[in-house]
Amino acid sequence: MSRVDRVPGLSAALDELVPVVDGSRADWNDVVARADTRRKLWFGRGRSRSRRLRLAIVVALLFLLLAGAATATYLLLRGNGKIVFQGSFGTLLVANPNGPGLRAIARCAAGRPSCAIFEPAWSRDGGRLAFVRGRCCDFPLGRRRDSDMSLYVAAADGRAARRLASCGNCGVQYQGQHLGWLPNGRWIAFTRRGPTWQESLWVVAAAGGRLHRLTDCRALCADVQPTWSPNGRLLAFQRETPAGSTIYIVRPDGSGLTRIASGADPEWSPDGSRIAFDDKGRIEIAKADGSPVRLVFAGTPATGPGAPSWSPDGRKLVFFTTPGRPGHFRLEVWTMNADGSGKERLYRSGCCTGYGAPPIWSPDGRLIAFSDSAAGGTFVINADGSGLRRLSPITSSDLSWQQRPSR
Amino acid sequence: MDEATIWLQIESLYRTHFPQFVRVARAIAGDRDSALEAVQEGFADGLRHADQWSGSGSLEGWVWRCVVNRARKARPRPAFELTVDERRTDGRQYDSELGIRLAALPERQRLVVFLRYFADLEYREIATALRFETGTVSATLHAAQATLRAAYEEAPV
Repeated sequence: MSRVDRVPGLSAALDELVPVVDGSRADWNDVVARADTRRKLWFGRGRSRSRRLRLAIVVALLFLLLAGAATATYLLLRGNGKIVFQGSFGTLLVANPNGPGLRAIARCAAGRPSCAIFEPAWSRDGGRLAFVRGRCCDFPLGRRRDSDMSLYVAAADGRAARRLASCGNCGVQYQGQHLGWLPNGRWIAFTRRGPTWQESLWVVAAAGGRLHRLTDCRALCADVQPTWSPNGRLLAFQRETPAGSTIYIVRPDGSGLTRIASGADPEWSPDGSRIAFDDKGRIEIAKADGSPVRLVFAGTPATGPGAPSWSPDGRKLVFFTTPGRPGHFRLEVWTMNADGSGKERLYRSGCCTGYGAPPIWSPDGRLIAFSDSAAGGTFVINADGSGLRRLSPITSSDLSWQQRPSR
Repeated sequence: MDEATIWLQIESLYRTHFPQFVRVARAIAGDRDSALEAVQEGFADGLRHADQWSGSGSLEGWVWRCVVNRARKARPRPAFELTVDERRTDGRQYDSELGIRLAALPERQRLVVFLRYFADLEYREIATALRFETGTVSATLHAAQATLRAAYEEAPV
């Protein structure tokens, strides 16, 4: 210990500080066991492989992390496009659901005060916008049959609008959406007035071309609200007659017309197995095979509920009610599980609402948009009822939410 | 050097230097049980990561690094951060001014002293164990010795 001698007394001080240890507690087998146990816990066996395996695990985890982040970003950016709705008479507006960007995307020609635009509907991929435009109706004063509107399809930015067909009233005197894009985006079903004022369903290619009749509604009859099943093999719609509203389905070639139930505002579930609709103060769900309908919400006939809309994952429905009395109705927006459980009111207006647009889901299922004249405007609210915000001070009767185009 | 040879050398180191490892670990961790645990885990680390030893430095210094790291992690509080009148954990006061000064050395100097005197390591091995430059080991040890020598010189004879 010559080194210790360089500091006199250090050896004794070190021994005092940390006593000398004997080697009786040495246990090499314990060391080996610890090494092996830890290795097995992590990687199983094979020392030489452990490093490569650990590297592979780290790379895999990093890949999953990056993939998850990319997916989340993709869904955030891709899911929710713009919301289109009516502006002042003769204008369609679009807005970003989470911020500014309100602008007109289509309008009537200047100097055409009788012109109106209705029924904006994004194609499934969000790449095109359909709407009806033309001389209309002095709605709601009743001179509806003077209408002479046409179906148009434009690019997603509203440009290059192309007239596809004349459709008269185009069903706009009835609430709801009367333009139905086939999921593949190649065809559009729409309500078209016939020579004796009945209104039937027709289809036309989105690129333009011949019109094809789908239904043949006779006098005092209107077929409206066409909605395609997700696979495009069936079309559900609402037939209006003096006897009331009825839900039907029909094949794309016009065959197989089948009555489903009395009711209105049909909408297919995302998996195509069910149709939700409202009927005399109730919300019901039917299967396309005509089996008995299932009641999921019972309200009162005069106060809703109405216009159920499926969440993109098919687990929930959003709908509106209008409790109150004539002239003093309020608008409420509700969600519930598809089996009728878990009812939750997201929004309640003050008195009194006159018109608006039924609630619709955002493509990602996290937001809901609706319009309400009592609060004066078009709104977006989180699906849990938080974060109500006004998109526009203009109340609209039609809304459509764009799936953000992928390109 | 293949992995089996490294294992044999690590085992040999354990069998021949176990008391020194425990002593240094105890100086860092503060108590005997923690020191024993640190030594066992440190050597186990050495075996598990034997393929990471580059072969260019001292294997002994590298194993010391494993043990020192384990002892540092096992330390419940800074070891031997004593003031001159602090009592030992076993209730006895340090018997000498030198012991007090030794206990009160900065950790960096104390570790170098422990490894130099308890483990009898060369500067190069200490540098490997503590991830210092060799020159830093020399300077640190010199500073520690100067402090301790001053204490000896001040102490009543």
